[in-house]
Amino acid sequence: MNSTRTIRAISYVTILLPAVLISIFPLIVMISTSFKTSQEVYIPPPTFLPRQPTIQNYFDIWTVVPLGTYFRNSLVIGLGSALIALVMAVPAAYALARFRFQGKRIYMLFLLAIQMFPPIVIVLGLFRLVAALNLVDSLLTLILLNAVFSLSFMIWLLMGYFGTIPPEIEEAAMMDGNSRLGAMLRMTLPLSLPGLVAVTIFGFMNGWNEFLFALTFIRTQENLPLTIGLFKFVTRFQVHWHQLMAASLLTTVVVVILFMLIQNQLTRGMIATGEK
Amino acid sequence: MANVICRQLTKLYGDTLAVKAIDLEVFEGEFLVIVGPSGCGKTTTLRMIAGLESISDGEILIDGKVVNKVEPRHRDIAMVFQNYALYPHKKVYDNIAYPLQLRRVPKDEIRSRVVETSRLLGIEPLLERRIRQLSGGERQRVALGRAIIRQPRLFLMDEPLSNLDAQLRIQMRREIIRLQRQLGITTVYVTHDQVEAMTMGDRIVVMRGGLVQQIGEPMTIYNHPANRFVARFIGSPPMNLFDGVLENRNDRLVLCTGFAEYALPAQVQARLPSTHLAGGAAPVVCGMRAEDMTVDLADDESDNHALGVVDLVEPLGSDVFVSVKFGEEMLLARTAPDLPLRETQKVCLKLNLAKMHFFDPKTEQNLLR
Repeated sequence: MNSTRTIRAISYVTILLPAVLISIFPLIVMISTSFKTSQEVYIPPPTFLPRQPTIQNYFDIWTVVPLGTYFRNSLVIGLGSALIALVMAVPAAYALARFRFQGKRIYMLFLLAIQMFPPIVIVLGLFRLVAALNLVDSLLTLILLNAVFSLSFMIWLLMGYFGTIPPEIEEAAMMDGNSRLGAMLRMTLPLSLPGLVAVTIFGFMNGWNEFLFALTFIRTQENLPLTIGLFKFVTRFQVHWHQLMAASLLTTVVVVILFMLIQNQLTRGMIATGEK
Repeated sequence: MANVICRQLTKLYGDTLAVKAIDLEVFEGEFLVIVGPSGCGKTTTLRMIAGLESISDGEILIDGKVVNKVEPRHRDIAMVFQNYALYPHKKVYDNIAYPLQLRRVPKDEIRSRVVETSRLLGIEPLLERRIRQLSGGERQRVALGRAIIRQPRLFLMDEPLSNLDAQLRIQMRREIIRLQRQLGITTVYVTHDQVEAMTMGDRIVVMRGGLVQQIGEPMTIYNHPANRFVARFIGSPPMNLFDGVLENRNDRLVLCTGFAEYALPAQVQARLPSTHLAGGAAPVVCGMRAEDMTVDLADDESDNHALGVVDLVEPLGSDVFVSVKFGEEMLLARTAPDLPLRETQKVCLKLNLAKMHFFDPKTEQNLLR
């Protein structure tokens, strides 16, 4: 018994360890570079660990480029799109989880199909639409677009979550004196709080990480989000690797922390959806 | 307290008729049990009374008022669900208090009523607990508490005992009966368990395939089942059924079965429709309860006696179920525990003909008047 368990553990480690190393290697380089001086970055041979570690980069990045503005813009886009998508996803997911109606299957397939569109395919059409609406170079554009692109996945996930809450609890609440809406707001929503938090964070990360739409629709410096703003460390004559990596690390840390918070909820929600 | 009347109540799911134009009246203060196999429409009927299911046709009247379009919360009905449907994010106290909190009853009054209700149900020490810390029986009591605290005019219970183990089920059954007698609130109770139906109901409604088969007091249904289905469904063990032919021999009906011939007593003959006297021979389905037959060790094959072979002996302690085989037919009899019976033993089975039921083989209706 014990020996088979040991063998299994060893084989897991031998298979997984290289995979883990390969996938975190860029992250390690990023962390290491962010603590190097600008000279060290360019001196051959490249060093793996900084010879003279410094945290100076983490101070400089805020003045070299308007990183604070980028952070604020990314926050606005992330939060705005997440909340708008949440407000739309909750009723849609609730209806899909609780009611039988004509065209439900087609609607669900339609949601999945939207999810499969690569944004690049429609970005040209979107640009004409956004231009016609006079919304080029506006954060609102990114908020709305990101909300739309997070929506279908959020609906699927929430639908699975609502499905795990027994409808009898709502029915009991209705017998006890609630309207249907009241029962949903007072019972189903509080009980799905973990799911609601998970999809909101998912929507936030979507907005935070988005690159293509930001590149296409934003023109001015003060409206740039982080994903595009990071490019400001790449100048015509030089790439400021040490600063770029410091700024990238700060950008990534937000997402990594959020993802760690919700990964359990995400898998649970997806399993629940699959069970239906 | 309220009375409920269902008129031609119908429920359609797509093309499927779940409830087919049933007529039903629940009297004020009564404990009415709706019983039937799964899929018979009993829960759908209950949910239509609750307002959780829309009504396809017909109407429901509570205290003389049509409530078809009235929302559940305005019907003043409390319901206990099969899975209890307690609010997992609230404490026991708040679960019970919830209906009153929604009605903005003053806090002091809520507190005293919750305490009073929980005392009645023996769950006062649990009030500060979380729902997931409770056992099945405790959850059941909390669900009952939430239902009775606002003294509704009508109680609906949807198989509330089916998730409990056998011992607890019997105990809770008694408590629900006691509670209902004490509070006197009109109650509609749905179950698939005929024992619950027999023991709890003032009256029983037997349903099958969306139709009401029979409505009546438990013993009336037991002693005079309206048809073959009710005869088999109500009573444990189910009534023995076997084929027979009624022959008219000089104006005396004789029942010929696969194993014996019986001259019917005059009082039984009088209760059979006269059409059966007119014809020469009429096929019938005979029904006999296990307790209406006696097993005799003596093997004298006289009138009302049939010789058979013991197939199986099932002692229950208080009495013994004996399966006796007559060629093709197998009859189950209930006997005293002191009878020395062995399997494969030859025995004599005495039928109490006065207690025999006759069903029409085609319509399956009870032929006795």
